[in-house]
Formats: sequence, structure tokens, C-alpha cells
Amino acid sequence: MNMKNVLGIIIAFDTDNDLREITEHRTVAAVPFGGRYRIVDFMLSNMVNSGIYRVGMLMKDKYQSLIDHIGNAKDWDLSRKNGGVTMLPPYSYSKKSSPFVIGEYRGKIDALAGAIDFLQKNRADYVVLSDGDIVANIPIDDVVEQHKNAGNDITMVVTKKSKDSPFTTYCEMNRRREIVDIRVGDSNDSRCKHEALGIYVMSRQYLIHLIADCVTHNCIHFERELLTRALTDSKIGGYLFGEYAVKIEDAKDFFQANMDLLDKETRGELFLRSRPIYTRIHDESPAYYGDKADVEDSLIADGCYIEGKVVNSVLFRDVLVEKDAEIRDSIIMENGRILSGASLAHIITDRGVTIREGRTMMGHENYPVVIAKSSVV
Amino acid sequence: MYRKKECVAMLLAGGQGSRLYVLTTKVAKPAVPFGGKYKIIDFPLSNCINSGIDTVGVLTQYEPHALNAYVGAGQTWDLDRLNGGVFVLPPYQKGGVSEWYKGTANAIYQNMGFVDEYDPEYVLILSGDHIYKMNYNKMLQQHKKTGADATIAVIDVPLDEASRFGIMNCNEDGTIYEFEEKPKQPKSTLASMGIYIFTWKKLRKYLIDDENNAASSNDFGKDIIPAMLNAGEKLVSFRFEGYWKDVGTIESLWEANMDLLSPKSGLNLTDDSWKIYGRNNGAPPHYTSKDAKVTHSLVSEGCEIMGNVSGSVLFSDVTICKGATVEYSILMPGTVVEPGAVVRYAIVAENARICENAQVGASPSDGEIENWGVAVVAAEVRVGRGAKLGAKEMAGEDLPDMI
Repeated sequence: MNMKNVLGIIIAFDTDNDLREITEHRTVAAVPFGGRYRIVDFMLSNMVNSGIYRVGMLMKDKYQSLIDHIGNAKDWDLSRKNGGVTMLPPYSYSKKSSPFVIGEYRGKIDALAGAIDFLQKNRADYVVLSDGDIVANIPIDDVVEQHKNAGNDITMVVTKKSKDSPFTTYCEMNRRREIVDIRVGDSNDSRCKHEALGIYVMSRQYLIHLIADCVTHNCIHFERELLTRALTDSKIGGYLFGEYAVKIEDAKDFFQANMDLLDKETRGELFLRSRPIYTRIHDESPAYYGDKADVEDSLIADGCYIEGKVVNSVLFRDVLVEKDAEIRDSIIMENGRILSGASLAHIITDRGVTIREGRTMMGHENYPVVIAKSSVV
Repeated sequence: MYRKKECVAMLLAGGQGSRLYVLTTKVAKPAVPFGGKYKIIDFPLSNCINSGIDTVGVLTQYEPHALNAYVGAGQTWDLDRLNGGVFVLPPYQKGGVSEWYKGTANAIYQNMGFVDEYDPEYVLILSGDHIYKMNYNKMLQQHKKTGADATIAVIDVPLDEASRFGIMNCNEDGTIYEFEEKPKQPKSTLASMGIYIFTWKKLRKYLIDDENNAASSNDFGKDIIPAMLNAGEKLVSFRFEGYWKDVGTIESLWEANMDLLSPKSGLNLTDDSWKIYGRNNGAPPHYTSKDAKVTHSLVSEGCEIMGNVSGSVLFSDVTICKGATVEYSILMPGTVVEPGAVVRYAIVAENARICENAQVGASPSDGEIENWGVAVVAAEVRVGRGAKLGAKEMAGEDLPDMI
């Protein structure tokens, strides 16, 4: 299918996401994930793999990390003459440019309204609007195709209801894959059997119309207000996605999703040869295992140097594990240095953390301890 | 448009590398994978960009497709430039005589027009079959300082190996007075590394003279260098110290990969100040299962390891099944080693499959040492269930199931 007339928009700021120390200095979209990625890589790659080569990124705060990561977007094949990635920070447009432009964003609607000029000037027929906290490998072109064939006004990607969370958008869907109810934070005694992943397809004109409608009526919440308003007079369809998909909302989700990658089936659903997940290339040499290395059930990125023991963990690029160090059920981000005799369990270390000789740190499955960026323990 | 460059590099990548046998039946030698995630050509190209040389012509002839596709627009090495960059230069039809590259010197002769476009003072000639990290800019500075017509990089080799190389006999000040190709009685141990810097105007003249000489084999080592020496031009050696290895044979390719596993070898790819760049295929980090035992090895992204691996180099997307054993071997991208299979002292090329209980290669201590050598499985080959490929043997096509 030709996706040339489709514009991608990624919400690259935190809405209900809070990953404690991990999102202190960066937005959830820029959080390192799965040994070599940032969370935004998944949706960005999904778009590219579906043929979408125009992507706008709406940003709000703490976005330097994201800008550094995206760079000129070459690594996603998005350094394009026509299109490519457009970074949309707040205050991009003057309030004089449109009555919709607001200063500080209160949510997704304000952010979209702030970039209304970008939406109006674009010539795409359709928009794929996506949250930036999704870890999944989704064929977006399929979603757009279903949207066209069903004649929907909006098509939203839904998954089977998995967890109860105050931020989840629950949906009730009938057999004709029409959404009949949308509820945020409550599943209506489990009558809503699905939950929204945060990916919406609609025509560009219709999105502009909905934004205008919301801004003029001072509605700020996309799911609670924009979608429920739309539900009364338009046709919203659901695209049921059955493969692995999660939204990273808190540190526990983050920890669990990383651990999910140790499962072969999950890796098979996320990392497809035909639809690879792209990320910024760092050109490290392959990982080195020393004579005494003892690695079990772990995901190891390039550039690692392992002399110690690693069990059930995810090691990002350029991690050093010295002799007699032991890492269990932990996530060690880039440039971590776990020195001789150190012992970690249920720990997330942010980038550039050093655990000195002989230190022992322990968290719990239900509460992984996060060690802030560049700390020395 | 005036696009002057001080120095243009010309990388000779047209050779077949026939001594790599089945590894180069479908690709040219510079496109042979090396070191877990690189190809041989990544070394000279990375050296160029790290040395500040941003205009490189890559001369291809034998099986050029894989190489052309790999080099692409040069973005891998940051060589996609508005002015300069990397160019693949195959032989082409032209107004006068159209022919294949007859020799290394003839390849440059046929592309004099390309070099002239940049109007360079100097030309750096490189070959695509060595593994080393070298700052060409240091060599260029020496070339300018000495006012040489040609500077030739040399490396000290052991005396007993000197007769395998082109030997430069030098005066104390480093000037070269004699060149001997593979001398039986070497007078010196300074071997030519096949890396030359010429003052372009001078080289241009010698290339034209050489082309007009019907008896010439149009080769830098055999013809151009001797001609310049005879004419009394100033040829100066540039001493290189560090790791350098010709990977033109199965044994040396295997050894150079193994050198990556020993810190004493001097080959270090983790140095951030002199990175070697290679094209990335976007595979996820590799996975090591609880049944796996991996020691003293390099493992690349995309691998899934459930078996035993020691002393080996695993390229991307290699699968080692539970109960398989891999020792002192090089497994190129996409190879699969099935349960019960044993791979020892072997090079297994891209996407080969070693089926259940097959055996590939043998340890030098297993049999007579004279008959020992590295076993090789060619790309896409299937070594059948229970099949056996002995030491030094090569599988150029599928081996049938034995069980």
C-alpha cells in the first residue's frame, strides 16, 4: 500500500508516565530500552517500516536527550529531502499565528493545537498519531488499510485488556470492530475487554477539526474528552493487535518489559527480520566474554566486556562486568561499570553508573531500585 | 567547479583473493567479513576518515556487486560528502581503448581523470586486504617534510618470513635504494605494506610511461616502484609500528580473527579514538540462554546462543543450538549450528548450516600436525546431519546427510 500520503506524529513527552529517576532528565520516549534502543525507536521504526517518511515529534520538556538521540534521523532512514523528522518543541509558533496556539501544554490536545500550523501546511491525507511510550512491532500500514476499508472516522489500535491502571484507556468493542465505549481508568466491571495502545489513525482534516472543536470548548484530555466527544457522532473502529505490546508508564513496567525480552517468543514478536527496529548506531566492537565469564539467560549488547557472572539480566552497550562481580535480574544501561566483587539483584542502573568493588545492592521484583545517571556507588 | 583536495586515496579492491578459495567465490576479498561485525574494507576506509582523508576512490573489478552495495553512498564511514566522499570505480567503456584493469597501476591509470578532478598534490594508494589501524596523515606529513616523490609504508617482519614479502632496502635516513620482490636472501626485514603516497604529478608521468611500455605488467610493486628507483627519484620509507596482517589466506584470516581475542596481539577494536566503522544490520542485542556456556569469545548482535562456545568469533545473527559445540572458530553472519554438531578450528561463511551431529574441523592435537589446517564451509552451504568435514578440508557445496 502506498503510504506516501500519511503523516506520522509521535507524542514525545510524558503524559501519565513516571519512571522515577529514569525520567528525571529525559522523557519516556528517550528512555534507554532493551540493551540498545530508546523507547521511541519502536514507533519510529514502525512508521518507517510501514512506508511513512514524514514524522513530527511533539515535545514539551526535558527533550535534549531525545534531540541528541534522533540527530539528523539518518539511522532511521528519515534524513529525507521531502519529509523526514520534524522536531516540534513548545512555543514553536507564535500565538498570533493561530487562535489555537497556547503557551504551556496541558496535554496532547494543547500540543497538537500548538503545532496546528504544521498540520495545516502538510499535504498528507491521513495522520497516524501515536504515543511515544509504546514497545511493540506494529504494521501501521495494516492499520491504515483497515481504517480505509472500514470507512472509519478514527481507527484506534487496541489490545486485550491486561492490567488495571488508573491511566489505561479501556474500550468496549463490538463484533464489527466498532468502538462503543471509551473509559479512562475504569473498565466498567470488565465490560471493556480491550485497552487502547495510544495509536490513532484519522484523516488530517478530521484531526484538525477535532482539535479546533476541543480547543474552543477548552477540552484538554485527548482520550477522556476528544475521543468521547468524537464517539457521539463519528465512527471509531478498533484494530486489534495480538502480538507483544506494552506501554511503559512506570518503573515497574519498564523493568518487566526489559525482562520480557529474555523470552524467545517476545523477541520473535518484537525483532522481526522483515521489520527491524532501528536505533542510533554507536559502532562498538562485538561483546567480549572472558575466560571466567558466566552468562545465563541474558541479553547482551555490543561493546560489553564480561569477566563475571550475569544471570537473567539486560546489559546495554559498553558495559564492563569485572571478575567475581555478579549481576542478577537487573538492567545495566550504557557505560555501566560493575567492578570486581560487586553484587546486584533487581537493580536498574541508569547510564554511566559505576558500582565499586565489593558493593552489594538489592531491590525487589515488585520494586526495582533505580540508580541515577552517572552515580558512583 | 574547483574542488581541490590535498590528498585523494585510491583503494585497490578489485582482486579476487584466490587464496581464500571458497570464501571468495561470490565476493571480492575486501568484502570478506572480519572480526564479528566488519568487512576487510572497513579497515582502510575507517583509517581514511580517521586520518582526515575524505575523498576515496574504490577500484573494483572482481565480483563487484557485494562491494558496491556495501560501500553505498559511504554513510557508514561518514564519507557521504558534498565535496568528495567515496566513489566506486569499476572499469568502464571509453572513447579510446576499453579494457579490464590489467594491473594495480593500470587501474589508477584508467582513473586519472577521476583523480584530476580533485587536482590533488598527493595520492594515497591502499589495498583492501590488510587488517591494521594506521594514521595516513602522519605518513603524509613525513612525505611532505622529506620532499619525497614516493613514500612507502614499511613494517619490520621476522627475518625468516622476509622472503614472503616485497623488501625495501633502505639507507640510514630512510631513503630506499633497492626494492626486492620476495627475495630468497633478504638483506633487510622492512616489508612493503602496499601503502604508497605519491606526489600526483610524478605518479601521473610514470603511469603514462608504464602504459606505453608494452612489456610492463602494470603493477605498482613490479613496475612503477622499480622504474622510479632506476630513474633516481626520491623514495622514502615510512616505518609503521603496530598490528598489521595480510589476511589473504585461510590461515591468516583465521589467525587475525583469533588475534582479536588476545589482548597481547596489539589489535584492539575498542579504542574510541580510532573507531573502525562497519555497516549495521539492525539486529537486537544477542541472547545467551541458561544452557549456554560462552568463554573467551566475541559475540555480535542478533546471536542466539544455547550451546557451548569458546575461543571463537561470532558474527551477527548466528544461532548455536543447545548441545552444539563451537571452539576456536569463526562463524559469519546468519550461520546455524544445530544440536550435537561440533565445529572446531573452522571458518563457517554466511548463512551456512551445520546440521545435527555433524563435525567440522579438528584440533591440531587430534592428528598429524602436517596435515592440520583450518576447515572452511562456504556461504549458504548445508553440512548434512552426521556429516564430517576434516581439518583443512573445504565444503564448497552441500554435504549430504550421513544419518
